[in-house]
Amino acid sequence: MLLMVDTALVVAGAIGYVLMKRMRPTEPFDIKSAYAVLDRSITRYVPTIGDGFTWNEAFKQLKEAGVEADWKKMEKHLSEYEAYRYGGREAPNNGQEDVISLALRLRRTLVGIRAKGKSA
Amino acid sequence: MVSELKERVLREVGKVVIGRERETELLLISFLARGHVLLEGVPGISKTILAKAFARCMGVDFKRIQFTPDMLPMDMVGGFVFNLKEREFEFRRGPVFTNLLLADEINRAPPKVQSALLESMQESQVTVEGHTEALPNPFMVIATQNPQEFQGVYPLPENQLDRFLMRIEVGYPNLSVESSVIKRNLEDMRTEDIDEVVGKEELLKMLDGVTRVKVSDEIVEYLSVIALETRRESRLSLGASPRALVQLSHCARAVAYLAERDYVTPEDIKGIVGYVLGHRVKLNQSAVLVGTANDPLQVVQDILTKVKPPR
Repeated sequence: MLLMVDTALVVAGAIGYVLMKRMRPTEPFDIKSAYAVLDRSITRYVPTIGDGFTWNEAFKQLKEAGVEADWKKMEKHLSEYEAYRYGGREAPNNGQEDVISLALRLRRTLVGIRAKGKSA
Repeated sequence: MVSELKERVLREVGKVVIGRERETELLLISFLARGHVLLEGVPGISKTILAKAFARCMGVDFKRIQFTPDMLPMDMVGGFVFNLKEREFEFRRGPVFTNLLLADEINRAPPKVQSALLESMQESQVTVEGHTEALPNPFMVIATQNPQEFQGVYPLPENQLDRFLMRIEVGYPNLSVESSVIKRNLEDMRTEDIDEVVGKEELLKMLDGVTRVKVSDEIVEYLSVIALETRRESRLSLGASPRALVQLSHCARAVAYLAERDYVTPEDIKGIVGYVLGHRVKLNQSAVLVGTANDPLQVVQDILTKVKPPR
């Protein structure tokens, strides 16, 4: 009986530890990492796009594929990011959430679209 | 506002040339990048009128040379003539001394004349019998040629082609544009109706503004990788030259400037790379024979889909 209680406690502890690790709040993304996540997501879920895509080309394809997002807002974020990335401006401190959220949305939308027989 | 100025140029040129907005924009980009343009297309598709209209609205000095097989270099650059009054030889400037030179049907001129243009295009100067004279600033050549002609023409060699910043293929207009062209020509249509939309001072300011556009190290690396891939590509026997890359970067700066940005993005490069590299790369004949390639532009586009830009 005692052995069973011990085992249950150890298992509960282990599960608790794993859950705690998984639910630990993530580090805040910087803008470059956020776009890196989006980059990986696009490469994975839009394989026809090829390695040489630019952000605007990718956004155009995603819009055409029916991925829902506030595209005006995304384009604004992109122009700020490009000013930082290529123009040496300070890194923008907003937009990461929208970029990450778009990256996560790609899987849901594009997998769904493919299942219905459309292509991105 | 630079973008407003671009719209003004497009509007003015559009008064006499219909449906050539992209070509006009490319001429403006080349002008700002201090490059020369080769307009290629069959006769009668408004290549010459486009160049004339563009020169007129830019408000710069413009001259036209109709190239013929019996032409001599001095017909273009000028030469020494004896001044009886002063009893000495003096240099008489040829039509190349202008801001915008239209070299009409350039492939009709013999190689000697074509190569006389080389120095002018590359160094913005003319040397005759040891006498060197600088050409006006800015200086741009817009050359036209008909690619369908085979008789009585001297195709431009690769080194001459490399001097042109862009080659723009001017195709037939679409149906609606063609109808508008006919209607417009039934009315009185003259290049004199075009207003100057850019003053000389404004123009020099713009040329200076382009040089301030930043090209980041990553973009430079991206350009180098594109060039490297054109040299590695099995379907090409001639890849992009370092001069092509330098010109491509100038061009991308002009594109960014017209978009009112002070930095170049990969998008700026991808938008013009076909016009800048298309005439500089050469297809491998075996690739043409086995049917793997017949268009150098398509090969360049294929390379661009593979080369990862900085993102």
